[in-house]
Amino acid sequence: MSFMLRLSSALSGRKIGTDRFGNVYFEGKRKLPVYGRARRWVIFNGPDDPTMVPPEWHAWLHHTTPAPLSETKRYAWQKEHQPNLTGTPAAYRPAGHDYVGGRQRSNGGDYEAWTPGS
Amino acid sequence: MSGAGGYDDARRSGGARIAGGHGRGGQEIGGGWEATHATGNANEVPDQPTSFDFDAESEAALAAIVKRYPPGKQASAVIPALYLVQRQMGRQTGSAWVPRVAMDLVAERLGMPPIRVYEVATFYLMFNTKRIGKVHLQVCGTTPCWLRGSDDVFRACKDAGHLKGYGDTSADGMFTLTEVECLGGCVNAPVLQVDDDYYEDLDYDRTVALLDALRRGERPQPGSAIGRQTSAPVGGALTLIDVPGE
Amino acid sequence: MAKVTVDGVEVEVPNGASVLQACEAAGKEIPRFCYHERLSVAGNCRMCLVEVEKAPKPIASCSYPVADGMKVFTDTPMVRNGRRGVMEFLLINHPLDCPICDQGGECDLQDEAVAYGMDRSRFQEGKRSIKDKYVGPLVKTIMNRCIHCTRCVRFCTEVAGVPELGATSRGETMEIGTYVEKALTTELSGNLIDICPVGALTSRPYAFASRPWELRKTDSVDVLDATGCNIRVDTRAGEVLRIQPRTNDEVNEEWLHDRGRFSFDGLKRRRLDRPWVKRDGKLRPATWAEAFDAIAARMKGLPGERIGAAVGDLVDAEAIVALKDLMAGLGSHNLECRIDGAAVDASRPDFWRFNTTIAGIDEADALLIIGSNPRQEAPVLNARIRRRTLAGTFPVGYIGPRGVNLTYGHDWLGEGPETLRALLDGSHRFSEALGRAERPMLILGRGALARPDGAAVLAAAWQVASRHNMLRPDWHGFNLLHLFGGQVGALELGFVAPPDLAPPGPPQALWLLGADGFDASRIPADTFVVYQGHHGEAAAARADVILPGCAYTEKEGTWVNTEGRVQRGRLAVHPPGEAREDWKIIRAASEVLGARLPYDTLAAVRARLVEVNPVFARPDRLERRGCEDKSGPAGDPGSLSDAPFALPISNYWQADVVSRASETMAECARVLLPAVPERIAAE
Repeated sequence: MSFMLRLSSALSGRKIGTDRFGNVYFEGKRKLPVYGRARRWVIFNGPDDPTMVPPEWHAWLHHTTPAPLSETKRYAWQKEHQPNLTGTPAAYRPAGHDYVGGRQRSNGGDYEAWTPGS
Repeated sequence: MSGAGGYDDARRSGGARIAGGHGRGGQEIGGGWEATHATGNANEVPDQPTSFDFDAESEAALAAIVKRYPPGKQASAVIPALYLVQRQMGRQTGSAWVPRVAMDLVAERLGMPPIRVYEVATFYLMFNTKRIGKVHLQVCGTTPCWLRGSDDVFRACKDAGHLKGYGDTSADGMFTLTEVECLGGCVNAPVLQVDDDYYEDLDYDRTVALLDALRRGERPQPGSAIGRQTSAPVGGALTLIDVPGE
Repeated sequence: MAKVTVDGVEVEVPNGASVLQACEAAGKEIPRFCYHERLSVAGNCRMCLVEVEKAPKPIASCSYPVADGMKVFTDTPMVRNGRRGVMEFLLINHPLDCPICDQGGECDLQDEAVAYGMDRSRFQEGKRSIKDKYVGPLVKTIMNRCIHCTRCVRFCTEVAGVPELGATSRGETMEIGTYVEKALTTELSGNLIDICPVGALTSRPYAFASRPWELRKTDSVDVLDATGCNIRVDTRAGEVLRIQPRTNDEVNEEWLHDRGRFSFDGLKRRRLDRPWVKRDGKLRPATWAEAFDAIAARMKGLPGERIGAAVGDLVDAEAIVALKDLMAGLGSHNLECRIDGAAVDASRPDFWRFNTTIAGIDEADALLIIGSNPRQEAPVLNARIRRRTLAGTFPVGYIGPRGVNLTYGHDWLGEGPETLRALLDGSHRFSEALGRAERPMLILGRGALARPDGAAVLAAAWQVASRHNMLRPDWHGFNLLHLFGGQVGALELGFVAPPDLAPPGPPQALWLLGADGFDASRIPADTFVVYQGHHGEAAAARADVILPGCAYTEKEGTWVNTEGRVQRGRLAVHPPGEAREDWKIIRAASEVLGARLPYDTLAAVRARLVEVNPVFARPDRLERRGCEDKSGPAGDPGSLSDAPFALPISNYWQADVVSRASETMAECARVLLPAVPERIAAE
C-alpha cells in the first residue's frame, strides 16, 4: 500500500514539502474537474493517523491557505502539536482515575462537607 | 455562480439598508427617529440630570390638568404631565426633553409605578427621551409631503443647519433634525414642524431662509410660506368668487 | 351558559368565557404564547387564531367572547394558514439559537414551530438585536429571543405586585425591561422563567446545566416555607439541578417562591456526611458504631426526666414520631418543637392551623394581619391575598412594623399590642370594617408569638377573631401562619412537653433533631448534646455526637403545611456520604439505648403516624372545618406588653439552614437586601 501510494504520488503529483514530523505532502498535477482545484494529500511518517498533521499543514491540506504556513515562526503561547492520544498510555485521565494512581475524594467531590470550625 | 451572486448581492444591499436605519431607499437618510429616541434603557442616555422639580408655572398647569380626572384616575394625566416636563425643560435648559428623574417625579405625583410612565414616554415619539438641540426640526416624510418635495426640505435642513442627517444635533446645539410621520398638513405639503409650529409650502430656499431666521433667534410667522390663507388655493380663492344675482 | 360547537363537538361554557376556553372545554388544543390562565388577557401574539362561522377573518380566540350558537373550527385551511403566517412573523426576529438555548426541549415556540413553522424563512433583512437586561441574580435575560408576549410584564404587575417590568419604546424597537436597570424586588421572580414561553427569561443558576430530557423528575413538596408548595425536583446523576413548581390549585396554584426554587445548591454545601464524636473536647470523625456507642455510654441509664429532645423547622413527620416514641421509651416528657420560642398553644389543632385554608382566602371579604409579613413568610400565599384584593372590596388591616410593602394596599393600624387591645374592645376604626364583612379572617404570624407575652398575643388574637364573627360553625377565620414546613407536623404529632410536667432541672442529655438557628450557648456546658441533621451550623458545632441525616430532597417524608395539609415528599437524590434517613437513625439508636422501637419499615412508621394522629391517613386532602368550640387558648390578654411586633424574617433569602448554605441565596441577599440598590446611581 505504502509503495503503491508512493508510486502513484510520484506519477500523478508533485511533492510540496515535508513537515517537522516527517509527513510528506503532495499536490496533484491536474485540476479536478468538479472542484476546479488540484487534490492535496499526505503520506504519513508512521501509521496512518490524520491527527498527525500539524496545523500549519492542515490548513494547506484543506485548501484553506494556498501555501503551507511557516513552521519556524512560533509564539510563546503556542504548544507543540500532538496527535490524538486516545487509546495510548499518554491519554488524558482526570485526577483520581485509577490509572493515574490518584485517590478520589471520599465524598466524590460533588458536595462540600461540613467540618467543625467551618 | 453568477445567479447566486446576484441573489447574494441583493441580500447584502438589503441588509445594509436596514442596518442603516429606517429611512426609505437612500443611504443618506440614516438614523431615522430612533436616533433621537432612546431605546429601552435609561442608563444609555447620556447627560441625565440628577434632579428635576416642577416650577411654579408647571405646577399650576399640572394642578389644572389633574383636576380634569376623577379621583383615583390621576394616571390619565400622564401624557399632559410629560408635556409639561418637556416644555419646562425647554424653558429652563433650552433643550425640550424628558429626563428620567422627571418621569419618576411624574409617577410620584400621579401615584403610578415609574415603569408605566417610562412606557408612555418611550412609546410616544413626541417625547424626547434624549437631550435635543434648542430648536427641534421635524420633517414630515410621509407620502404627500414626500411627493411635494420633502427631500428638498430635508436637504435644506442639513445644509443650513449643519446637520449630518436625521437624528443629528448640530455641533452648536442649535438644531436637532427628526423625521416624523404624517403631521396632517398634507394640503400645504411639504411641512416642517419647528417645535410646536408648522411651516408649510416649503421648498429648498424657503427652508434655508427659515433656518437662518431661526438661527438669528427670530420666529417667523408660522403657516404657509407662500402666504396663502390657511389651506386656501394657491393664488387666492377659486370658488364663490362672484355673488349670484349681481 | 352558552352553547358552542367546536369542530362538531357541542360544549356549554359560561357566558363571558373566551372562545379559547370553549375550545379547551371541547378538548381541542389551541396554540398560544401570550394567553395564560392566571394572567389577564393581552391578545397580542395572535397564535390562537380560530375560524368562527360567518366571521370573515380568523379571530384570536383568547380575547373573543363566546356567543350562544357559535360554531368554531380549529383546524381548517384558513386557521392553519393564519397560524403559519403568525409563526413566520414571530420567527422573523427570533434567533435560531435553539442549540445553545436553555429553553430548548421545553419551549412553546419550538413546539409550535414544529406544527406551524416553515423550514425556511422568506425574511432576507437583518434581524433586530436587543441588549440583554440585568433583572437580578436569579433570572437571566436573552432579549433577542423575546417575542413580546408580555406575560412577564403582566405577571409582575398582577401576581407579584411589583410593577417594575414594562414594554418600553415601540414598534421594532420595543423592548421588555425595567428601563432603569435594577434587580426585580420580588420573591416570586423564578416564576417568570416558567411563564416565559421562549428562552428570553431563563434561570441563571441553571444556565447551560442540562436539557430537560436528561432530568429525572421527582414529585415532592417544598419545606422551606410553611405554604407547602408542591414541587418537582429535577435531578441528574444524583444531583439536584433545579426545582420547579407543580400545579396544585389549593396550595400554590402554579407558583413557587424563590427560596424554595433556588436554594437547592445549599444542599451541597456544609453537609453533615459522616458521624462525629467529641473526644477530648474536640469533634472527630467517627463510624456509626462509635457514634452509637458514645450515645449509649452517656445516655443509657439516665433518668427520663433529665433527657430532653427538640425538633427543628424542616423535619419530616416520620422522624418526629420516631423521636417522640424513643423519648417515651426512655421515660422522658421533655419534648419541644417550638425552638423559636413561639407560644403556640398545642392543645387544640385550630389554635395552630391556618383554618381558613389557603384556597379559602378567595372567599374571605376582610383580613386582619397581626405581626406577620406574608410577603416574606409565605410569598405564594401572599400572591393569593393580593389577587383577592384585586378581585373586589377586601379591606386589609395590618398590625406590625410601619412601611412594610405587602404588594397590595393595606390599612396600617399600629405597631403593637395596643392596637389589639383597641380591637378587643371594639373601639378601633377597623372593627367596623371587620364587622361589615361576612367572612372576615385574621392571620396571626408565628413571629408575633415568639416573645415573652406570646401566649397573651395568641389569646388576644383569638378573642379578636371571636368578637368579629370569625369563629362560626360555617366559617373559621382564625389563622396562624407558620414559617417552615416542619413546624406544623411536630405540633400535629404533639411534640411538646405536657404543660403540667416541668423538668426538674436542666437536661443532662439533649437530642436535637434538626434543631438549629437558636442560641446554642444557652445549652448548659455539661449537657450531652446529640445533633441529628443535614447541615452543620452552631448547634452542630456545640454537639457531642453528630448524626448525619437527610435533607428534604433525600428522603421519603411527610410534611404538614400551615393549613394542616399532609403532603408527601419523595426521594429525589441519595443523601451524601454516610448520611441516613432520620427515622432509621433514631430506630437504630433506640436499639443501643435499650428502648427498641417497634417499626422497621417506612410503612410501619406511617402506620404509627396515623395511630398518633389520624390526619396523617389522608395525605393531600384537607377538610375545611368551621369553629365548633369558641373557647380560646390559655393566656391572658390582659398581660399584653406594649412592645411593638417584630417580624421574624428579616432576610428572606437566608431564612433557613439550606438557604444559608446556598451561594445563590447569598448573592440574592447581597444584591437585594440593602433596601433596593440603585445600580444606576452607583455607576
